[in-house]
Amino acid sequence: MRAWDLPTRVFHWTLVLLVLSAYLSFRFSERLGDPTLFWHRLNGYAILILVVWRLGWGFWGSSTSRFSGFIKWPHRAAGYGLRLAQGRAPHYLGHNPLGAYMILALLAVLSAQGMLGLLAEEHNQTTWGPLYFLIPEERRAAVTGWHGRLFYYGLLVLVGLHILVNVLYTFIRKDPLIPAMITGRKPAANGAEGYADADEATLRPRPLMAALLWLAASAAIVLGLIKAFGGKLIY
Amino acid sequence: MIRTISLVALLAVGATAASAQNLDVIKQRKEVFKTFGGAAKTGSGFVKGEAKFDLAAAKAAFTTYADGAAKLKTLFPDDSKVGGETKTLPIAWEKKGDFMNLLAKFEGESKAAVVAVTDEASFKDQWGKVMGNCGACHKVYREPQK
Repeated sequence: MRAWDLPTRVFHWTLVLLVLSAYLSFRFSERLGDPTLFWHRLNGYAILILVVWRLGWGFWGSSTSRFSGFIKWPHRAAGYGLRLAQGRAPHYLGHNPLGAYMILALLAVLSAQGMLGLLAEEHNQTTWGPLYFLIPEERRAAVTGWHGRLFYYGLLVLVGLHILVNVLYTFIRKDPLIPAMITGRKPAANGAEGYADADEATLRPRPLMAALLWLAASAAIVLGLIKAFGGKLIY
Repeated sequence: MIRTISLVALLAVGATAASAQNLDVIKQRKEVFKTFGGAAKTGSGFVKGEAKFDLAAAKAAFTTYADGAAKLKTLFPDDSKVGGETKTLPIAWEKKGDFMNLLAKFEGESKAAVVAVTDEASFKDQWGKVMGNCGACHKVYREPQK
């Protein structure tokens, strides 16, 4: 049965590549012949654009992508977690209630990380984000330090947990989360058990066209805001 | 008795002299790095557009790097691994060959930049190339920023 629309899946795996690329383009910048972090900066813009895209898709995407469909009150997520520990949690077609909070946490940390990058200044002053000047000179080292620390102690930890849980669900709980995010399909709900949220995802009208138009708008928003604050996208 | 006291005193003075030399070398290289910070501020100001480009100042910045890098090659003796708040990691002595090569590369590219810089455009080209040497070394041989 349909679980995830194409735009959501493309968003997910593109983001994976971009986060990996953002790290590599920083860590090996000199060896890649890019000491001023040209590619790292473009990666950052792309990640911010995708985050804005996903936030919008959470309101006008297909049913399983909409925040209203999968975000539950914390006590409901905790209840699901308890039942999961007891081995009697229901299955979900889309994000389960705990997974929903991981999604929100990842989006929050990615946004923060991207925005800190806009404000960062490399400690040798080799290069800087487009909005470095918004930070007073004496505070720049501190802000840049947060950009580094949030990656290692925030994003990497969440990503690690996210991967681990998805692997456990797919191979131990036999709930094929990883294949579903690739193929977009999950097995039909079996008998009385069913999926707790929906039997099948409903696509929004003209999903590909809507996704592309909203992507263009997201890029305009992110890049436009940077320029509006006086930043130079490329220098 | 007197010989023992003299021997102990000599050893103590010797040890003190040795550690004073360590701290002095560490202090000297920290001062070189401080001059790099000043040059970085000048150069980045031009690239950021915060200061009007000045060819003489640009060449002076690269000269600071070239001279400093040359001096640094002599400021990491084996007895300067600890103390004086040094931020150099022990791996710099374990991989001394690579560390010295990086300093030599920095020196060479800075010297070349002094000649190659003729205007603002050529300065921007040289800036990234020369400054890349900072990160290349720091990422491996310097304590991570807290």
